[in-house]
Amino acid sequence: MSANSSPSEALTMRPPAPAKSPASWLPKKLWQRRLVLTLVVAALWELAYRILDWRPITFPAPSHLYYAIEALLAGGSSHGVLDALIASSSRLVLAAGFAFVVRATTVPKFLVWAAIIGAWEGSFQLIQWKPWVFPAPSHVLEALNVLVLPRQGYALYTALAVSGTRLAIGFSIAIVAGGLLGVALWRFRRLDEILGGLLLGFQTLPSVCWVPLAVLTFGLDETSVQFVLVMGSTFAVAIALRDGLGVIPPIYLRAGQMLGARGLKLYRFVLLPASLPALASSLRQGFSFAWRSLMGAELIFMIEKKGVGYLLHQGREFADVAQVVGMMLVMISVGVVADRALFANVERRVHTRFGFAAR
Amino acid sequence: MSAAARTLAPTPARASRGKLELRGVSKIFKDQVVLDDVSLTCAPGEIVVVVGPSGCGKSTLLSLAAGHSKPEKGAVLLDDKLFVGPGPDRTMVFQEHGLFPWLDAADNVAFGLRMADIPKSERDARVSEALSMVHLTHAAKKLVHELSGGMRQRVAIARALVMDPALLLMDEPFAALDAQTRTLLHEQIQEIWVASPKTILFVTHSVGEAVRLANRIVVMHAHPGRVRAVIDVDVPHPRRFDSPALSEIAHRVRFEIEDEVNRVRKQLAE
Repeated sequence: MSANSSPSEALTMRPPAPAKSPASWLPKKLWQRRLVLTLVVAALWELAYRILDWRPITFPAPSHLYYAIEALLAGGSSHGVLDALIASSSRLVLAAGFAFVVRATTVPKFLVWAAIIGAWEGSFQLIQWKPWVFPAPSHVLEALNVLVLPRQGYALYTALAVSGTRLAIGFSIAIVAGGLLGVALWRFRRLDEILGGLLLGFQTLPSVCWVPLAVLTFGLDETSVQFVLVMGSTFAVAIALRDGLGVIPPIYLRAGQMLGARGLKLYRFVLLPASLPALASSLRQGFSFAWRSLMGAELIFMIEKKGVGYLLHQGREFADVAQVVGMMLVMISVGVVADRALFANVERRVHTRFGFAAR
Repeated sequence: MSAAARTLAPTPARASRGKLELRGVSKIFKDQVVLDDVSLTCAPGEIVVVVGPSGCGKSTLLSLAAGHSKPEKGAVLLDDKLFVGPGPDRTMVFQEHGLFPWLDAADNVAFGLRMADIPKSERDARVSEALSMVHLTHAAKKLVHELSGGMRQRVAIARALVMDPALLLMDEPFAALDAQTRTLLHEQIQEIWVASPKTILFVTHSVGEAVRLANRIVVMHAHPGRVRAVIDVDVPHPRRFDSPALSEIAHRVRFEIEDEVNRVRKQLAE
């Protein structure tokens, strides 16, 4: 139930007028107030389920969570518990994600999103368009739910793990290669004059255009996917880093040298920290390119390990438009979450420390 | 006037080191002569302020003394020794502070000591001493962007002084500050200098600043840069900015500069 308390709390406690003087009928203590609010929201939730009689596979009602816990307690074997956990995990993930979104957004923002999704679903219910042409939110949720069932081999989780691993390896390579290239371009202007145009061309080349070359050169295997990913993001990292390093005020160098920073010390204690803002933005830039390249590659490559991109392709093969839209939403979410939670955060911290764009 | 005579002049030469000597120095950028055969000696513990119209090579003079650039002709010596490149025995306070934004005030001051591998206990002691010298003990943990313009310059001064340099170079350090802050910093510089006199080579546009701080004022000749006039300021520190003796000297300096500006204008018109 803990996952439910967050949205309810955020929804009720976030409104513009801070809850300094809560209604007198509410208990005084904070945890008691939270408990009451959670119970109220749960009751409304359950009531909505009873009235609308929605499909429990799409979105659970509180009573389903209760049954799930009961089943968990009753089913003895650890395997059963694991299965049950994984089977209900999509809902937990959904609830957690929902809670996170609600916590992170203001009431108006949340309402706008609720209105958009509500209008989407509502218009389907009203017009009853062909669900195989374009899905309603409930179809999308259902499709995603199916993808995490044991009989599908937990396809979505496996795919996320496969893509995540590829991303971790490929992006690490891209960071190192792009980083070195970026520093070299910045350090040796002559090199930049010779190679700069080509690199810019590489960066503007859509990353899926590397696929045919990868197939012919490396064959249909993991290396090809990595190749596309690395090619798609290395130059973005390099160019962003070169540009960032280029705007380091020369006075830092002079000050560092004056205070006795020479050779490697100058790099370690002056240039490296001075380039932190550039590094942060190049990572952010590079990640979005890496993710795009990987999805493109996985969409095309049919190899043993199935990534997130494969599931999108599978949706098309099966003419399952709900899965197609669902997988697109998954890709978007991964991109947004990684950017917001990781890279934008790092970038903001660096910028705050350096005192520019203090937000 | 010879360098020897200069040492006997008004300076309370209590410093044992920090003799800066420029011997017939010329600096040429592309085909333009920026400095032409400039000779200048700063005695140990003397404050020499360089003034002059734009383009007279004031800043070039400083960067030669700092070791950021090399003269095409002549030699720059510190305590009768040639030096190569910039180093912590000749620290500079820049017009735009040049503090490192990724470090707080105390770490900025400690930077040079860290580069010299000074152990932490000694480092901390010297940093807090330097910060208290510029009255910034309370701001030790502040980041650069959290400091006001005047505070940043004071941190920059502390960062330069903590290295115990033989020579302190100041490149229009107070030009971007408001009048009150500037006056305050003039007082602090004098206070620090009286406590432990260092050789200071100071470049400025402000005649008021020059007469307030200098033991000797060098007025530069522009296009090419030469020494036009040297004016002694024989008034003990700390000085009041409205002292009549200073205003008479300021008058002379101002006359020299105006005359130089008119000469340059005529030269350019031809």
